[in-house]
Amino acid sequence: MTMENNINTLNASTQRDDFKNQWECRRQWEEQAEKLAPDDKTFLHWAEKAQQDPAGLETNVIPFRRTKRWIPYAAASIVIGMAAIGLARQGQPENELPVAVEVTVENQTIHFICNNDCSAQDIILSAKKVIK
Amino acid sequence: MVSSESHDRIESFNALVLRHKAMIWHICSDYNVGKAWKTEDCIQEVLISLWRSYGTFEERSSEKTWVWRVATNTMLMLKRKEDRSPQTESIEAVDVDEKDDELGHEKYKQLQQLINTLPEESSTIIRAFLDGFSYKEIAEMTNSTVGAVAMRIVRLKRKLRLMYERENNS
Repeated sequence: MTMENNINTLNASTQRDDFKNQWECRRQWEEQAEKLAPDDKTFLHWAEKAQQDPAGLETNVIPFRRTKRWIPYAAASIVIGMAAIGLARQGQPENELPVAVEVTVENQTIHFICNNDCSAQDIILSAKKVIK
Repeated sequence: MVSSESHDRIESFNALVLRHKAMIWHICSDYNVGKAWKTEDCIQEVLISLWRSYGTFEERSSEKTWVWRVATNTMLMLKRKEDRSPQTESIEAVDVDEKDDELGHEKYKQLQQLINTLPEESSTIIRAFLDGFSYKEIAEMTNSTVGAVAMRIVRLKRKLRLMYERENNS
């Protein structure tokens, strides 16, 4: 067997081992997920928000979801220009109801309602109005 | 005012969420490899889906199977939607979750990314298998037979290994 063949065989064998390792790690996800998942308080907060969804049984409450993103960089620069870390959402076309939006600016959190099809730009503009 | 029945329902839903929070996180995380921020958004979408369909859970399947199915279907729906939408980025950029890497999520990142490239049905079957569901349970989830599921899993594992080797050779 040539040197090249030896190397190829070794590479193939290493790759098989790597794959096997990844496969086994993936099968043992439970312990890892327990450590990595957000804590109970966060999950309960999200569960509470989910229960305010109008399609759920409870309510006529306008859905409020603490959703952070889907903001393109162009809009992000506006947010950063406002010294803000934005928490906003772009509307989801299939959602026929208005969405509530939360934006945090310099530790001040504000809420307002946007149309379901509003863009990230609309959200930022609305936030600016509220802040002014 | 919240009635006693509603209160019980909410309590029971919250308990269900906490019982399965690791699995919900894990499913959302697998579809969003390396994007912790996106995983959080997806978890919230999954909780909304679970709440919406909570009344339809009839205990014909196990609770774990039901949660897995709702979460997986939600993720598939979000993925389809994302494929149709223009790409956007997080305002916090794509944050590599250091905690994630420290604890070894990195170890199967490449495998996970390869699974994400498989067709929907194949990726669902292989994920269910890796998540510890039996052939019988997977057959029920996918309206298939135990024999067919077993065969597909053998083939998919072989296919993934070849994809893995090919990717690392190139």
